[in-house]
Amino acid sequence: MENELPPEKLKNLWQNQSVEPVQMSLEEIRRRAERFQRKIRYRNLREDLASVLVFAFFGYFIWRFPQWRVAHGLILAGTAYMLYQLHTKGAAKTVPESLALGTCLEFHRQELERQRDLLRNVWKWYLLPFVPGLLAVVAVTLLHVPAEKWIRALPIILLWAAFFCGVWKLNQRGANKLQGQIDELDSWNRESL
Amino acid sequence: MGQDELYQEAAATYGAALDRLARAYEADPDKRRDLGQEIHLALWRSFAGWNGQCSLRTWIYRVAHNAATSHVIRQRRAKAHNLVSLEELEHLPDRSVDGSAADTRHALERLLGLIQSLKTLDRQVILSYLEGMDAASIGEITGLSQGNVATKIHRIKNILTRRFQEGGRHGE
Repeated sequence: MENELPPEKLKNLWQNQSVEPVQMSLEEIRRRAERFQRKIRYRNLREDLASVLVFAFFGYFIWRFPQWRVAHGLILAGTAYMLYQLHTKGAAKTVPESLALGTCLEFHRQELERQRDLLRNVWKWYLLPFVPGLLAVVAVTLLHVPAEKWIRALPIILLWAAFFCGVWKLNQRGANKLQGQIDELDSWNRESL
Repeated sequence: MGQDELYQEAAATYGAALDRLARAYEADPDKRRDLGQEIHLALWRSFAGWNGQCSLRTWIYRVAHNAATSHVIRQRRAKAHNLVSLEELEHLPDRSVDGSAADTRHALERLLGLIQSLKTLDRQVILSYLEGMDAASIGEITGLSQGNVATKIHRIKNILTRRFQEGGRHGE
């Protein structure tokens, strides 16, 4: 064999390598398609159950501690909103059936864009919904303790603030990385017009 | 032809090419098997909406590349920064110089490693090139203009010539 492999020979080498093509009968394909749908249904069911548990938990607190009703009600509303957003825009989105309708460039961009928006808007759907409830918790707590002890609540408030900032920053970093990839695809797209 | 017949024809004609495609996107053998099945499932599902808007080959490769891209985004988002473009690869030194490039198995392993190190779009172009497609077909699948595809193919040829001839000389 010659000691050089020019592109044409590499093409032959690539095309003639030994392969193990997927062997699935139509029955197996249908079974897998059904299993796939079932998986999606179970995932949705799990999310619904989680919502029910959260509602039951806070519902109990609302009923049991009337003075905390507003605070717990707001946290409950925030959780419901967050779960709804996760349910509709969740990262575990299924692969669409219309995979071939767009080019690879368009599809790749859409996927990156979807994930970028999810990360970039994390403050809107994951952090902000909890702020009114948490502020109400702080307010109710402060109303029930003498003013001279208010300083004790500061570490908790700072911890929450740090957690919120950390989550936001991490997600912004992720979104920026994805934006870099989108920009790169866009530069090819512009050149292709 | 119906959904089932189209799928059967696609699997029979392009089964080997789809396996090579899955190999190029996923290095882990178990995950590769999953990706292969995922591509076949996506293909079968996609044929429900097939009405001849493009050639069957373009349709099949779009579905396969898009399903694989989705897989890569899910599996390797954290490692995305390690991937390089053809432009970057052209200027990078070849570090895998042990052994002769003329050794078929070794050459194939190096070629696969090179493909797997590429960014998604460039990987789609080099794969299509290796499968023997022309610039027009690659453009139709990827969405790149023929001019861009031609530039990329030129780079691919340079990279392959340089890397595999250099590797061969190392083995002499």
